[in-house]
Amino acid sequence: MYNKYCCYLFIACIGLLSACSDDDPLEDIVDNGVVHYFVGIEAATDPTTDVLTPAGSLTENLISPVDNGFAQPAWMTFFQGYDQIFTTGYTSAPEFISYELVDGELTKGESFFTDLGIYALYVVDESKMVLIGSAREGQSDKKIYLINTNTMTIEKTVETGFGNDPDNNLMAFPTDVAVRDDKLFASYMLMSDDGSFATTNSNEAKIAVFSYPELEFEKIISDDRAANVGRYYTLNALEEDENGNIYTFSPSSLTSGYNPVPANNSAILRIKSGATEFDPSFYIDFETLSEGYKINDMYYVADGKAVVRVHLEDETMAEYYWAAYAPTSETPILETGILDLNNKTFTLLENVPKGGGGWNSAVMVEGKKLYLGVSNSTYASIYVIDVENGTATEGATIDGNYAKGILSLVEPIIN
Amino acid sequence: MKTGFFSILIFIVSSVSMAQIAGHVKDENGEGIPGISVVVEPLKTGVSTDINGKYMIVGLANGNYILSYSGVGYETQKTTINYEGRPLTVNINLKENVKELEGITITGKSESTIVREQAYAVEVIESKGFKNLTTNANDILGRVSGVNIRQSGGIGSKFSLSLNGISGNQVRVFLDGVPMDYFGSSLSLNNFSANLIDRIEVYKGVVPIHLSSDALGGAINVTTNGKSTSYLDASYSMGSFGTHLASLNTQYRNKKNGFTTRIKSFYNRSNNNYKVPVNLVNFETGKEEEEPVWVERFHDAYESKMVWAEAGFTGTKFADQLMVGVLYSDNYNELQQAANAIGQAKIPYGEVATEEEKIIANLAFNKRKLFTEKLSFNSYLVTVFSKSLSRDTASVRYDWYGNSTPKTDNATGEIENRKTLFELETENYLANANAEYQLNKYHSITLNYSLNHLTVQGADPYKNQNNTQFGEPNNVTKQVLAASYTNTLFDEKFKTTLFTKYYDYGLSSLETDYSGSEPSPFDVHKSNLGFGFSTTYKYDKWQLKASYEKATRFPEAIELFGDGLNTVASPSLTPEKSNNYNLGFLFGNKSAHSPFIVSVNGFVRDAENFIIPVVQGIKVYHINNSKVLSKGIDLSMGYTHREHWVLSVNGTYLDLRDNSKWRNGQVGVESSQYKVRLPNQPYLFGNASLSYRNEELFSNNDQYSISLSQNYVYEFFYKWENLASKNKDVVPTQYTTNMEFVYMFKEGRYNASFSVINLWNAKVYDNFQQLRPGRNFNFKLRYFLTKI
Repeated sequence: MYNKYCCYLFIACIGLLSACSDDDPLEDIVDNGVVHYFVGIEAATDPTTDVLTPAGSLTENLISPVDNGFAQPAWMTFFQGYDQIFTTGYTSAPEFISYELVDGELTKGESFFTDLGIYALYVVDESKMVLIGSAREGQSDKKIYLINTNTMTIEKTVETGFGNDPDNNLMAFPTDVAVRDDKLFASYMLMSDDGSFATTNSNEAKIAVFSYPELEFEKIISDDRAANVGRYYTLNALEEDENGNIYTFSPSSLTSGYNPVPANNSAILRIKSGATEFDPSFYIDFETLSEGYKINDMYYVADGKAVVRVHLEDETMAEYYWAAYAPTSETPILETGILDLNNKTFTLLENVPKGGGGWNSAVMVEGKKLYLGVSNSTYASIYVIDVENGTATEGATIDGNYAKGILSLVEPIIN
Repeated sequence: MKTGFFSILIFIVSSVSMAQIAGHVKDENGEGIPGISVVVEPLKTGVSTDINGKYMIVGLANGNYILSYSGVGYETQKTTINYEGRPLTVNINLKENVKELEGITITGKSESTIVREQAYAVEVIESKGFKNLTTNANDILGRVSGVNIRQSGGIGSKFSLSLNGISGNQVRVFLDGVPMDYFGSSLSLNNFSANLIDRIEVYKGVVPIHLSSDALGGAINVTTNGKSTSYLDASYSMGSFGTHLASLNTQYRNKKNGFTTRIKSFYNRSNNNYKVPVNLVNFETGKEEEEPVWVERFHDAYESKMVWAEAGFTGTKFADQLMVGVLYSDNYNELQQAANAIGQAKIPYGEVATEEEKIIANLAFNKRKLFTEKLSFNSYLVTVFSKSLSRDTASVRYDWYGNSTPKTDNATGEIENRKTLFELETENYLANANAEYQLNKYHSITLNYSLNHLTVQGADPYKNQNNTQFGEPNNVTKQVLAASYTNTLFDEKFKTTLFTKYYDYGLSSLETDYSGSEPSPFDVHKSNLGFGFSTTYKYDKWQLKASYEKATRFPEAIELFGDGLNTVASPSLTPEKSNNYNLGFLFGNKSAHSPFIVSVNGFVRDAENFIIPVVQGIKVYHINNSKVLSKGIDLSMGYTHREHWVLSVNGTYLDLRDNSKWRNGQVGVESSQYKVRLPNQPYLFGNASLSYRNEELFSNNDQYSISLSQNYVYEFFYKWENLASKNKDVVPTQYTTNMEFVYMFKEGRYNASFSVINLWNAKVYDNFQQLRPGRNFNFKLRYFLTKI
């Protein structure tokens, strides 16, 4: 979902004036505007206090929500729109709130509510966003919502029961959604419909394909070389590159919430540009490639290179179950590396500290760099990963439990 | 130290060698009255009567004296004696003071309370003044300084009580000395009828050993009527929002053999259908209406009932009290909306409810002078059998007008899209024995042992995880062994108690996962030592009090092994600990016509290892990570002017700060909340009430009173006050005014009251954006007869 935005930012960043960031760390100037950075921070516990915090720099100093930024009404998810930042969480119902720049100032805008919890979302363009709402139990229909982000209004709701397997008491639970051209792709995991999250039949990659913007169900595509795609609340299981290819990853691990663990190795598949089937010529057996690591997250950056967050687990040890959902873990498990999707090579970035993970990731792509939130019980910061040079450098420190989203808005320069 | 010891010896020797004045203080029915203070004037020395109303004064020189007999609820009586060194018997009959009973008597430590507890930071509320009102234990407690009660809605709704900044489970509540949390939701402070309550003792920070349990920040003991008389007390009240409350309490006592039977019972019901403003949402567009609509809470009804029958003997040679009883209680509580919603939920619940049913058997035995004059013994055995049911089985969606539409499948409920029908059976055994040995007038020692064993087992046809977690019994055993020593010097002016408590905690349970497969057993066994002291010195009208306790609270069963819903087991929790300090003084001018009493108590609670809930997505688990430093001051004041006007004022200022330097309790990242005020906690609050009482309004044997009370809570931040600069949520400053009118005739036999709560219809929020009821009216009739 970040890919469209990445391309946009990529273009915007071509004219980046490097001298400017040294003299004036408050903002970067691109040729069509001034970039303002923000970080969604879980700033405190009991009660959980999330703050959408303006950040002077992502690469140095402390980003602090103390007396700084918009207090969030609940425990929120932060994600990037085109000229908007969205936050969502359960307030008095699942609520989506828009923030944008008005005269260079971050301003709270309109909001809307949905009647189901949202587990997959994708910003299509400047005015459209799609969401998938689902129950976490039972065989009930899911809902795909088409949102007008200018008015923050639901334009269309489609009820659809795709992917369920009632004979085996399994429900299809959405893990991510992406729109490419006139197709909508919804990846899902099959889990027990009794609310136990058990994954007894998850050994195949499965994606539902819909027409867009009609949102009519077309088919389910599957591939038995890899297990279910994505994990609970991934938001980055379907990653699009510059050429319109969609890459998917299958965690196949207790750590990412699959119990029992599917037999297939943690792997990467591809849907080629223009195609609506998995590409039979592309397959990365990541566990074999990396000598035992499994993928928890994959973020496509540029030039066929992605940053992956990976871990080694012992499938027989129950404490690994959901282990990647603990951003303030005392026993963090996630390591970081660069995966070259074209050359099928993997490099571990040894200097990035182990992180406890989380739900969706705090990531932002800028050119050939990825900003990544890394946290555990004694550490919270942003790392800058340069896929071109294969390096990782420590950036700004987070004054809070962890970064939940790394975001930016461009203030246009009006001549 | 040595001099002190010798002076004690001298006191012992002298007390043995001297003659005495003894006697029996009785009421108009000839029953002995305990706790009456007998003061020798002009020496100002004195004693209190024992449980049978007997007293003894030793060590007087020959001469003329006035003996003054006084106690709450009785008219003071004086008699002149000429003491010539020979044993003298002076028996007295005291008259009840009906006017005094009407008032709310807040006594820092009055004659009516148990003498040995005097040094604790304690407030005692006599509930007699409340019995004619539509009120429950929570309403009474809300008027005590340092106490703040926050309720999410109307009668029966969830509430959280905080005492000097420490809240929830950290403050223990007892019913006649038995920990009340084991009675469950059908018997709690917010449904316990005022008519059953004799008095409420609030121990701030330091808890005497006879209230035997683990508590972090104090204890509240609600005592029910234990009078050795026959009486009948029946009441019925009705109020706004379909509220009906009834209670019937009666006791018969055979004066000859002491055979006693009593019944205590109540019935509460309320629809709680007050109106709340909701910005309704059109889910077709997702947009919220700009103007709120006032809608009725349509699924928030509450019903509870209790019958408690006891039989046995009171005031006999073999026992002051030997009673066996059976209690039945149940309740039914509808849930209108998600507890964690910010404000009114957009999608209300229409069928979610909880039920609970309990059968409790109790045996109590109390005896002063057991085997010897010097030994007092109190004990109880309680068994609790309880069944509770959480129900969310309707595959429908409601709107705020009470209309429902079916969902597309019938596997989901209303909460969180999962069905629940969770039945939990609880068995609980509590035992306590307390022995106090009075070595002599100056020294006493007390030993206390309590055992508390809990077993829970349950099933849920919809959730396999619950079946696994509770399929086999989960057991918790808590034992407390405590000892104290009390020293009384200088004619009872100087009193000190030292105590120590040993806690032993054991838990055996299961660990399981979402799918309910592969359960693995886990056991916890921990023990801990606590100690403290309390001391007081009285000088004329002044009394100084100081106390300290190193307090401990063990994690609750729910914190350790979850609730089978969304609370996840956290078996590695360690006990919470706090160093509690109190320093206070009391000034009492007990003038007959215009008594004045003021007490000020400063306190510090230095707590660590706080158990806090952490919400992550759908799961809640508990961690021990915060340190909290709480400092504050409580003030309470009461003044009666010429028996007609009564003014009482109390207020609390709390300075609660997060005292954890590092995030997540581990050295690494410095916390930006270090030394910041804790959010979502009122820190400046108080109330004042003024009442006027008089008699002969309509006839020459009636009395009436009219009171006005004002509550105040200063605004506070809902979340951390130092975080963010925009859109910060604040719970606004709140003022509420209540008005009450009470009319009694035939010497208190017939009573009627009328009250208006929230007179100005103020918008009151105890929890952020969750509105409490507006103006409401209550009317109550009560019949009270002391002799049948």
